[in-house]
Amino acid sequence: MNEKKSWLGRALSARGVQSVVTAALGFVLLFIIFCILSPQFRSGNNIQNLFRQIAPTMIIGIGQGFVLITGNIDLSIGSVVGMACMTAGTLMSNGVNPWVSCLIALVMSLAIGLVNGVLVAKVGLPSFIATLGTMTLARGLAQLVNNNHNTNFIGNTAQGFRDMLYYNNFLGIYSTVWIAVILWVILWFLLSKTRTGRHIYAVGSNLDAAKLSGVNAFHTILITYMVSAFCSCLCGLVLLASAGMGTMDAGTTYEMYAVAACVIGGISTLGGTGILAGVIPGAGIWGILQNGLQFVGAPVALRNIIIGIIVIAAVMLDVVARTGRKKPKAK
Amino acid sequence: MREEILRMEHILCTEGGALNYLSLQIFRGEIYGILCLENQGIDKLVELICWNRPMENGQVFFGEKLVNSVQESSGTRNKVTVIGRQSRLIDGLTLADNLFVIREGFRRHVIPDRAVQTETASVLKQYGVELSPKTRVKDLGNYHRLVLEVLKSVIVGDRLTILWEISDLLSAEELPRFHSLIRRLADQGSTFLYIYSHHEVLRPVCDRIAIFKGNTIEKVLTVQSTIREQIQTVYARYCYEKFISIRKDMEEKPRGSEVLCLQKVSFGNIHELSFSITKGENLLLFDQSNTILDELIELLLGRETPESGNIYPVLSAKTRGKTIAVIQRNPVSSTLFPELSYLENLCFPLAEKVPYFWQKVKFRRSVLREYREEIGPVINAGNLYGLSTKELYTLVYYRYLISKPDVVVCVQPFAELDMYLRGYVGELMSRLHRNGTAVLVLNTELYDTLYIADRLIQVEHGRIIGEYTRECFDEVKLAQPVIFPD
Repeated sequence: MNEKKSWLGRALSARGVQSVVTAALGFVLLFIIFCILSPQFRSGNNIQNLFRQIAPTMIIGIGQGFVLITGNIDLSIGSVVGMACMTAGTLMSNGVNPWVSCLIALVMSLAIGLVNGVLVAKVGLPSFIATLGTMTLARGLAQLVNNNHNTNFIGNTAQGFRDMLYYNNFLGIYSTVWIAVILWVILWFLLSKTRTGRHIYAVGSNLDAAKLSGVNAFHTILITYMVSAFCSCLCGLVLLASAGMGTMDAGTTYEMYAVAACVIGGISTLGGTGILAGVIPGAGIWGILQNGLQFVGAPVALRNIIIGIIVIAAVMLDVVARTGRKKPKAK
Repeated sequence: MREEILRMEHILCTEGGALNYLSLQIFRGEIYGILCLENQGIDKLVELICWNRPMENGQVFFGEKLVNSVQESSGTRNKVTVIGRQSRLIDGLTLADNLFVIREGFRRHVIPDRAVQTETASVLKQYGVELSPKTRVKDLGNYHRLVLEVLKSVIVGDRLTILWEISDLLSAEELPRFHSLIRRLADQGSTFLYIYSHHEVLRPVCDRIAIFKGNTIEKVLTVQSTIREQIQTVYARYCYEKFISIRKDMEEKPRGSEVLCLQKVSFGNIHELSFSITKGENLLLFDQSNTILDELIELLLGRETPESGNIYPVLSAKTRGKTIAVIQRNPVSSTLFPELSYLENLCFPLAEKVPYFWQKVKFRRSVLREYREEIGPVINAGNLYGLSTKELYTLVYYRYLISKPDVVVCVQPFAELDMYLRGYVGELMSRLHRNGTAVLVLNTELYDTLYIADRLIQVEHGRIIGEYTRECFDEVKLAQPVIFPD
């Protein structure tokens, strides 16, 4: 039973690693294909930009990943991104200190996360319905904060904020990427090395068994929605720093990007499996397709079709892997 | 003086299952068996052991402290683990996580992975479980899952472990191993309440056996030397006599032509399996290592094709599904549709055979006319909620009495049934037999099923190791001391 395996064998047999490796190989393959197809794609500037483009998807993917592992979903991500962007943007354009504005946007986002968590874990609403409701609610708030108008330019006083979240470049990598990486490291630690992380997997794998084992399911699910709301807020602030103004449609369909990044990276929509490392190649594939297809001249419609097909294929693979029975080999 | 773990005195509950002045006392280090002649009330008993919920009379002492009485029911949970009906294991996590991390009382926020794994390895080694701490629970079989649940209950410090109908999950080979583990743990001070409806399973391992009947404990058998005789007196009245009369009925029916034949079929754990079954025959396939049942069902239903060998008649998966019906273990939950009416459920397999069945009311009317008298007024029920287990089992078997498939495969037909219902299900199986349908019983144990079988095929690790006709069944009993200790 305790057969010895090489370190590579052990690493590959660890939970969820195979999906991550597959996604990473897909990312490398796409990268090579687009490098061959388009000289502009492989330029240094574009590579830097590509990673900066991937970072927001990765941030929201991390948040969605937490929720998906518990067997739920967060459809409010995109609207929370828009709400955070508009709230902070409105306050900054009215001269409020940028960091205070960020704090207020964060509090509002976490409040949405709290509502999601309570509706799903306490009231018992299906997560799809509960977060569909808060999606509309948060989008409404995004429109309300500036009387149904996009904000003005957030002003020169917010230049430090913009540099920190978007424009600064350290070791040839933009600050957005560094933020995504730091966030990933912290939340990876939370998910894989702490009791809370194990509780998240337990709730997603078998809710009843988790409750019987003394896991506080409400608390655990609430944490995941709060993490998701935090990530959405951060993404909204990155979009604000990037555009220099709050736009009401910021974050539209981002919930889909987040689900796609997770699913491509091996986080199951059925809960209980997947690792956060999967979000990196998952978001990478998403970003590289958006960026690469643009450079090879593919029209927007074709881009959407290809990306849609890839998402469906990834989900199908997940479902087949979960429900398909391997034919046992005769001894 | 022995330390008392649980004492229930004159418990009366009239709602939610009902208990009728039940008294029970269990001591530390004891394996206390409850032999269920009737299951009614057993759910409530387990609930009241686990939770201090309101009752109409009596008191409950847990760990020598009064925890529940008519005057005060706190609603709190006692330190009790229930194993069998619901698992506490998380499939996606490792053994180490399941044993030491996912439990009440684990307070550390950052998990010391190595320490937890070392600790797990040492516990597993101590109890002779040859598994790596990193193994994921989803990769374990029933035996190891049960062992893990028992070890978890010991680790979390629960004072009483209830083993509830677990033996159906274990093969004849695994059962004695499991029993020796719980005996070892009991000798070290763990306490077990073992609920089951076969005295053959309880007797070799339990210190005392209580007979549960009529919503209460009727009698507690304490002296080991007389337990056998005392139980058999009760048992014969309830079960054997019933099965003997069923058997007599079945012998009158002549056998027909061959309806299913497997020739040297290999697939997965199945190795060169050959047998055939004729119309009106009751064949018992006893898989004593519990390795082939799922695969065999897939093959019989045509969802998988054999790696080698043949299954006759050669039919497509769709046609095979119409000629071979499978009644799964616990068929009430796996085959019925509670929202649909009794009649709709009854006609479901028939509708697969008869074109435009649901469009033409005359078909349903005809079924209703023909079976109303036999089944009773329950046939008019609008849904299945609130029906008794007996009525639901009647529905399950009548579905195939009506649709008349060539072969009905019954998988562990008596699992989780009390003595009374086992006799009734035996009777339903004999009706299939009278109908001319071949019945193939797949089981991992021999109790009861042997009484109604015409022929027995014994399989070990996927290979046939013996085939017996009814006249040779005494040989089988002698060869299976674990199952037939007498």
